[in-house]
Amino acid sequence: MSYKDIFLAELVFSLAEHVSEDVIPQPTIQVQSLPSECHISQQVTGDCSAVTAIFGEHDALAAFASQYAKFEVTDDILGEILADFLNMNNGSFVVSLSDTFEAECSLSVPEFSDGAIVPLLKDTYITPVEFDYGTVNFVFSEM
Amino acid sequence: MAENDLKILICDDSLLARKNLRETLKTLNCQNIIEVTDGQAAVDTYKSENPDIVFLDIVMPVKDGITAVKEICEYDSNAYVVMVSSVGTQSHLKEAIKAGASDFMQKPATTDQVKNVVTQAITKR
Repeated sequence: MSYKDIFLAELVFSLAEHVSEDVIPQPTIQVQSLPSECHISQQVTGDCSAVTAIFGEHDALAAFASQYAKFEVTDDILGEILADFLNMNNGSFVVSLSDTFEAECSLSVPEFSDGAIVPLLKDTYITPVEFDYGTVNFVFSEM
Repeated sequence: MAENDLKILICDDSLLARKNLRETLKTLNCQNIIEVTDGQAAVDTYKSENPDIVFLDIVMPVKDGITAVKEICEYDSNAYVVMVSSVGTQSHLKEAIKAGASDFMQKPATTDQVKNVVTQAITKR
């Protein structure tokens, strides 16, 4: 099992636990570059070195954030709530890495960027997840 | 000392984590709650407010939670600091306890976990 597979497994679990059980992850796509609307990211450092990110259409992200936070998320805090989900999921990912591989990893503070967020890394994967309000995309990019 | 006598400091850069913890504490009749968003603010606020409990995140801007708990415990060896982190590995737990934390909770903390911390704090005081 690769780091990416563990990330995806934790993502599905986190979505079911904290957002909705009715989620449909689409096949993961390997890409060469990240879309320009990808502005929220968090780095995993240590034995596994990776960048994770979340992006999508504004209305889908707002609905997703509201479903996760369990209140109506306004634009002024949308980024913070999405970063919180990323951080929560990455925390579970790091714990799973520790349990599975005895890998020692930490998380950086989530980053918000107006431009492209990450330098192009070795293997970058996007997993689109469909909800009834739209698609939210999750990025795992291993250094 | 009762729950509503406790002064509680929540330090987390996550708005949602602060909100959830604050609401849980209020259901436990804890009303005197101060919130800050980085480790340096936690240290400064601890010195000025002398809270009975500190809930401290680890990954934060400006100063991380491990550095903050060290500084708080250097200032007050009786400080009751509980780390609340999304990263609950054994190594993080050990690092936090070594730095002076009294307890460790993985996010999202349950009401029972928070209740136990409040009960401990009342017992200690």
